[in-house]
Amino acid sequence: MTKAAIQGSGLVKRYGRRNALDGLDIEIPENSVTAVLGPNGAGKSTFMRMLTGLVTPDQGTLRVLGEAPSWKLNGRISYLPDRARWYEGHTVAEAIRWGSNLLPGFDAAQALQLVEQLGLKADMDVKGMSKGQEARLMLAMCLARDVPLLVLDEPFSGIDMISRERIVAALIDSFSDRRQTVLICTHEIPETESLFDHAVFLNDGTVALSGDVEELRATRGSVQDIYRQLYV
Amino acid sequence: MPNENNVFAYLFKNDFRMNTRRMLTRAWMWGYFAAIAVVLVVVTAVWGGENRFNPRYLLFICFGFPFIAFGISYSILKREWSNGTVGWWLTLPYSRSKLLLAKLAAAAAQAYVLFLIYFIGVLLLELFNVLLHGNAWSEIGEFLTVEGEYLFVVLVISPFMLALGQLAATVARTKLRPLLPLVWIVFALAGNGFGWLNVNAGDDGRIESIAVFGESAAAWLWLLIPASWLIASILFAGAVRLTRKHLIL
Repeated sequence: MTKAAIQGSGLVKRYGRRNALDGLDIEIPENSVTAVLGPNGAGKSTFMRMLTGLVTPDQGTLRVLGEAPSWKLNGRISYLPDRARWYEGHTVAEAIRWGSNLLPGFDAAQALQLVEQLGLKADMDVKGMSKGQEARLMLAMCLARDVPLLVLDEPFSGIDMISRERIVAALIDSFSDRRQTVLICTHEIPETESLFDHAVFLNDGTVALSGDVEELRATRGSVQDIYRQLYV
Repeated sequence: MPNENNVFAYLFKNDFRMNTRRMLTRAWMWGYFAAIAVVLVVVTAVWGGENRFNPRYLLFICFGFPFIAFGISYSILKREWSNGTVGWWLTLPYSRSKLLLAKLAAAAAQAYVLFLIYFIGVLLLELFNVLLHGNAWSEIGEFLTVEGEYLFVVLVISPFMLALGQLAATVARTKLRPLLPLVWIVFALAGNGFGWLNVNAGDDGRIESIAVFGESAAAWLWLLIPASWLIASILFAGAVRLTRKHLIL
């Protein structure tokens, strides 16, 4: 039995009358790449935010790397927030300095290598960047951290195909190099399916289906097919 | 690995630098400032000698300084949301009190630098006035005393407005948002009230003394200063609590 890096039990989060999470029971295996999938409003981002303590559950318990979420635990989590932007007053080099000064496990040399690999230069101003360039910078900032948990919430949202391909290539490189638990929440299933070891399908704040991707494929078809079966 | 001791200094420096850079790159704003400076120099040259214009009148602008302190503090925090960087900022592995205190310190530093620049500018204008019109040098000494009193009052009342600005930016992002009009009312009343602590105009409209430094100043006026610091620390604690427990993200 694989050890769980994240365990949630009976998680409930209400926004007004709507339950973003509605008694969510979830387990994410350690040292695997897990896709958190589902339509808009399924509760994916709420769950991701809960892992970093940005959102607290109204009910239920959540253990991340054996602890309750807190600002201290964030030292062991590399988190890419959804719809995030980077500080427009920074250059790429200043962003890397920001990481070196504030993020535990951040490797500035690796960050520099990653940004170059992703087609960015150290002296580029964030203010003049395209959305795709900014997304690549933010991903590099997350991948340059040597921490046990990497959480990427919509890393491909609103960016062009070339940037998406570059990001997926960087992710493949990164995941092959280290043992890390990775959670990716995305709608770009065809491009990213090859990355996943495990998948969790959410619907209306609960788990609709979860399991090892190979096993799911053997019984129900590709991840994209399963997505269609569940949500169409 | 970040050095814990340097984290606060870096957070402060990063906010101060980004905000200052943003201000410095607003060319249109500097255009206005330059035009106003030219007008003031001309007005001082033409009317300064007859005492129809005294650079000391410019110290009345200190009425607005508490509002400026509030605005800087409010915008530094609000920008995390409006620029879409709040997710990075709030998931830093540091306590909310450290994150907010760094922003408060950056806002305070920026406000104080602006106030200081203004006071130096007005002092230079007074110096120009004295040199051009051959007024007595003792006027400079008097002017410096009044300016020092103004500067003192502005500096000591700023923590309240800075903390209130931070609280306003936080309340706007929580379930307590309906309370925001109350915060704006406190902003208007307190900003104005502090202004009156600052100045006591004579019958002819010229500044006679600063209220807290005036001969007839009551002791309670001085007590307002530590009281405002105490309330500022309560407002800051409120902002910390709101960002810890009640944010809507």
